[in-house]
Amino acid sequence: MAAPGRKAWVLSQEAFDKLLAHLNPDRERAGGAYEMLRLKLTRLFEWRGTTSPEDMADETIDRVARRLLEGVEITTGDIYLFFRGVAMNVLHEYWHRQAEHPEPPPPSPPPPAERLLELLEKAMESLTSEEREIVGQYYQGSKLKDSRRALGIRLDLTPNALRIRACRARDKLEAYVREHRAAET
Amino acid sequence: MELKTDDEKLLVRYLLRELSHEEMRPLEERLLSDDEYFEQLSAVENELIDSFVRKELSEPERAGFERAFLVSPPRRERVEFARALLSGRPEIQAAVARSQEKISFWGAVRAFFAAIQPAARFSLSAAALFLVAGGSYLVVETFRLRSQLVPIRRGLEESQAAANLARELERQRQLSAQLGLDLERDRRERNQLSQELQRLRQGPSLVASFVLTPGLLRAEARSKRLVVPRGASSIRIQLVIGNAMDYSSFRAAITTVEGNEIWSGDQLNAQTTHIGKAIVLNIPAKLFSSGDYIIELWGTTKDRHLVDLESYQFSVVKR
Repeated sequence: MAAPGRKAWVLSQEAFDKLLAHLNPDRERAGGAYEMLRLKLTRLFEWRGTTSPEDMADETIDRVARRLLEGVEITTGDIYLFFRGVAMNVLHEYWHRQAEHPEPPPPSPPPPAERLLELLEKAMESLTSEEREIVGQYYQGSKLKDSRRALGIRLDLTPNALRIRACRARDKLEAYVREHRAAET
Repeated sequence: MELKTDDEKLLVRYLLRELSHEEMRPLEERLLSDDEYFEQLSAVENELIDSFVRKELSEPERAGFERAFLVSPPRRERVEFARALLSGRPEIQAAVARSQEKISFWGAVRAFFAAIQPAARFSLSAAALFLVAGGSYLVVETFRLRSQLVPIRRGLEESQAAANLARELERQRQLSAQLGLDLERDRRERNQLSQELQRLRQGPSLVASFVLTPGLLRAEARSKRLVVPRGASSIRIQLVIGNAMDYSSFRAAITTVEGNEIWSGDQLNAQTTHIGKAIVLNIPAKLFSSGDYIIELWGTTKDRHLVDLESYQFSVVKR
């Protein structure tokens, strides 16, 4: 979804390279920083209640890349502030469109519970055995406090480190389920 | 839902969309630049969703959650996923259990020995005995070294916890100091506004006038320098546009190159000037300091769509 407006601008290789260079001078690390930034922008738009957070994240990245290609100079320390500023512009345009012509949320009936469980079971197989153990003990069962404490001791992790590991494993499961649901629709 | 720190309470309020725009701004800027903070927010969000699914939220929290989470399809999907994950269904338990399956070790050893010749069996047994003796020595030595490690590890954990606490205290102190500065700045701006209003009422004001054409190239922008003389109360900027026929009105916003918006205007109309069709903006001069700025221009079509049109970059030099 490109916001209606000036001719749709396509992210060229040159613009992408310039954007990566601004994120990190090391190209490999820049790639990781780009993926993380895209994820953060997607989640930000999701937290702000929009219906197409991924498209809006891509629109934001495209606009910043275009600015950089056109010669706007941003220091590395400021680039995340710049991204937020552009993201707010994209968000304001979205709100304006919604106010003028409210879009109904795209039809996404929840999958039958059984299908969701099938996908989740398959997703578990894509985790490492340690990740499966973490998911099993962190989220399942009735005495979670006890099982989480025991799990942390066994894996030699602080409570916060265990929490983050559980969150990462859960994110992998959600991503698997989301991709396979999208492929089915 | 049990929350550990004030920071986490702030994150929950953000997720439930209870924060003002100004409160959200420093939080979102930190999310984009700080990976650990982003992961912390993701973890808090998961726990909030889980608390909702387990019906552990208070009534106001539940109502806030439904308002914030159940109106957006991506967020509804996350709630459905959490229901499946926390369901404790046998299929999920089986997947976890498969990671913990072990074959019987002694069964495998017995099968191996049964299959080989007696002479080889004797040699292997002698070798095994030697290995056991050597292994016992290693085990004793390992226990001795581990017992030396325990106090060292404990000391490290304590100093790490102390360091984490000191970092958190420092961050809170900085946040508090920043809030104080913001408040003081707002007070000063309010005073300046009152003085400005009084001065405007008293006498004629000096207006600085400039014309801008579209384009964002840095080299061009340098030539678009707006020199604002001392005493100018407002700046009149004429934005040259091409075809104004397709739009019933226009919107403009002025931001710094860092993305901070300093001014915006809606329902603007194109005027015929000596340079052609232009949008004329009258901006209080005090909103600008010396630096680089970008004006974004949108057009509103007859069927009320907002169309992103042009960008104008320029530098301001205040005398």
